[in-house]
Amino acid sequence: MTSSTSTLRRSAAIAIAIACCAGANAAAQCHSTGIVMVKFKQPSVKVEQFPIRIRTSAGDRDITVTRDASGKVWREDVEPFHIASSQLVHADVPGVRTGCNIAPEKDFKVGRKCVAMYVVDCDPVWSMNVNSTREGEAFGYRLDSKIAACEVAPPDFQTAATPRSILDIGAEDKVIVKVRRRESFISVLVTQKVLRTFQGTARFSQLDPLPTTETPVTAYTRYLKQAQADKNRDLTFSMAAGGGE
Amino acid sequence: MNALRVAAAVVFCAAAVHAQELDLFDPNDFIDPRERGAVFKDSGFGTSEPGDAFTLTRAYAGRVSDYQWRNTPTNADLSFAHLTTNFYRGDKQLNLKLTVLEGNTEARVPAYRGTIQFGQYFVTSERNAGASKGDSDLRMSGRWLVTLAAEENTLTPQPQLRANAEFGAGASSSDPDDPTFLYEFGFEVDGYLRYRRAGVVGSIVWMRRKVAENQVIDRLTYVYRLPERPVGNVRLNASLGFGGERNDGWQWGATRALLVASYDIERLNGSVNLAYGPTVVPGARHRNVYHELAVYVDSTLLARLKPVRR
Repeated sequence: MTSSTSTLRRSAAIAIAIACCAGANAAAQCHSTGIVMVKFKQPSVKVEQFPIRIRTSAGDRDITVTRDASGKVWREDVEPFHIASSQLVHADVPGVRTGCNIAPEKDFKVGRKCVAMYVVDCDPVWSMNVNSTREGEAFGYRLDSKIAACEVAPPDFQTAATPRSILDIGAEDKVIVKVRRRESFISVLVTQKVLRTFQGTARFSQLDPLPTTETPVTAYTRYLKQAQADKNRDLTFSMAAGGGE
Repeated sequence: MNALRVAAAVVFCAAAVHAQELDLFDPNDFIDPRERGAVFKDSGFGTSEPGDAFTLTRAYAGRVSDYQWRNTPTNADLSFAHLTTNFYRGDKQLNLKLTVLEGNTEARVPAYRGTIQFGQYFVTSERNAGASKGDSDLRMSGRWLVTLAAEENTLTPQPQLRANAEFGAGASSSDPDDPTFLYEFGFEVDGYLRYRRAGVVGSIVWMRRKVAENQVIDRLTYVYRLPERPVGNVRLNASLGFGGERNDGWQWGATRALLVASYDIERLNGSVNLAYGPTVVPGARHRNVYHELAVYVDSTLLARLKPVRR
């Protein structure tokens, strides 16, 4: 009985101490720091170092951050700056698309030190070659990007002609490719996952047609689209090595 | 006015269902002419540019259990073959179909059926139908389709059944007045209605079947189609139908779902399909729920585009 009472008291004391510390910690707000840390939401970045640009009240700074011992965070010590008004403008990670204009985590600390911690969305990029039997075949394409990176093209169809490489496609991006057949457009959806199911190379006519703005894709529309693609010219999509414009 | 058009279109498509009355192996052959490059007149009826003519011949073959013939459960396990050719030109469509069914001798289903269909498409005005920024987001395309079908008469007792029949001496012999074929005539309206990001495809089908002199059976069916969903390499299609049949009086409530999973096989120029069609028939004598199941392959034998210039 005595033993259990003392255990209870000890637990209560620890709980009160933790609560006090937490309160004190919350009360101590972070205004400035000389430590910059970057962390990715997805565990796909493996590089040791990469450059970033941060925007502070004193101007932009280009910094190279280095992976720390945990392997999950990249950091660098810099001249102190005001945290709340700062922004990570962009991170230049090879083979990876990253989010941009990211605000720091609020009152983030490591131990007792305030840290400007930027948590960044990322998506490995890949490239796709588009070819056809007839060179100069016109097509349009659009990326539906999962990550809103600043350098990504606006979500409008861009016109292109074969042969053409589409660079910096996010692994999770959807690529809508459309070709014009007289008054009609035919669109297909290409993703890295889809191309993998075709061992890296697929023909336009092999891919699922997308509904146009006014028509559903019924079973028979599929056969029409396949005939349209086969009859005239058939674009070929193939995976290339990871991109970079 | 706009709201009125929306309401009218919703009512129209709400009344929509499947064109071919949900035979497990007979998919929707609706192709909007604009997909072939046709340009409709401003009225939405008739084309100013016919687009490419398209001819498609497809074959289907497989096995079906608990086959649902028209609106009637048969309890029969059958093999089937189905050959269909569709001609699309301008805003017109012509279908020729031949179906062969082979089951056990007790199966009261026709051994063969021939169908001819003629249809014409229409759309809402091009300004709204084709424009991405119109004053209305409502887009609609539709088709009316006339069907004439002939099939073997299975309402007449078959010879081996007649021998065992307890109808009396008169029924045990073949009646020379029994028609060899039964004919059906029908009218169907298919619609595709799109409002903002949502779309629904469906058909209303009315069919009249002459079974004897001065005796007809009417069927009215109404089907919704859900949009096709790819799951990995498998395409999923689903439809839901609701219908009624009038013999002496209308009997309503027959409800049927259709789920088809298709896996494309390039070498086959077609796909392998697994189809499931549960049907609920209220008021049936023995059971109300039927589980039709089919496995079949389909193949495109001919798909030919031909430019048509005016």
